[in-house]
Amino acid sequence: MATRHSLHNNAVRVVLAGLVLLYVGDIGASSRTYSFGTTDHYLTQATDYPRWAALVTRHAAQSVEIDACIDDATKCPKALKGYREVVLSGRDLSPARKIKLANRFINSRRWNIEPRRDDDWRTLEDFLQFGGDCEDYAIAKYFVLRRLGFAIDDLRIAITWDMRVQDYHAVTVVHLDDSVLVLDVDGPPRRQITDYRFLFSINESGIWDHKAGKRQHTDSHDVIQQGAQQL
Amino acid sequence: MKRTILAAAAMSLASMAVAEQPASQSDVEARLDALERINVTAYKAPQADDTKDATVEAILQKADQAEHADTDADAPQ
Repeated sequence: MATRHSLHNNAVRVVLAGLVLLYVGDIGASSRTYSFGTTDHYLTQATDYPRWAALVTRHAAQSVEIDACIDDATKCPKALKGYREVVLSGRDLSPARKIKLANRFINSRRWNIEPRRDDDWRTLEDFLQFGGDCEDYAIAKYFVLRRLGFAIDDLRIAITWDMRVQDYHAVTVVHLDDSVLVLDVDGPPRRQITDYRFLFSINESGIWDHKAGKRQHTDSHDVIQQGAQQL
Repeated sequence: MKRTILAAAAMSLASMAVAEQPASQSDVEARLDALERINVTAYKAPQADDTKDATVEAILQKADQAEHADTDADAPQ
């Protein structure tokens, strides 16, 4: 009887310990969640998405030229001269000012609409040279902020359904002081995220699926947009 | 009492295990395919940021001057 009682107690302890471990593990995993009004579900590693993986590889290759430019102004192609000033003068700013600087610098670039069937994702250097459309602005801000010292974990490019323009849209999202800032093309960094339905987010380490979270945590007050429903 | 606790804890563990289960390979591929099919082409006119910050403005001005230095040098006198 005593043995059975002891086994029972041990089983309870093991189960409770397991619960504690799961809880602690969950806290660790959620230290950098980007809830966006949904739950972000880790989908897979970034390299599993060929379009993004190719862009990151191309950016790494171009970084040789970018590094040379930052070290020596005479080695800068015209498109990178302004960027060099932003990096050199901006790297000692506060994080909030770095965000403002990156947002304004990139938003002043040329909008260059691509045909729908040829919607390539441009690297920072290609964007600075040729301009781009919304995801190129988001990607450029991501890499400017990475250069200014932001960690991968603090940045994501979010693919959204934009309620205002009723179309798919990309924005950069930054973690700052335990809050989330959205960097869009049409103004200053904003904390207001209700204009967007977040679908996926990406950084150099992973891809997160926000629609999966939505399926599991449906909010009856949300208006499901037709475009987002297709996903 | 302990049986109730044990049963409740076991159910919690089971539900967490289901919730934390990684997506299957086919699910991942289907979601990546959905992501690939999105054409992110929303047009929003880039707008100026009205919340001016003198430090940021000074850097942007330097950047602008650096970008146009060659153009200025090539301009007819």
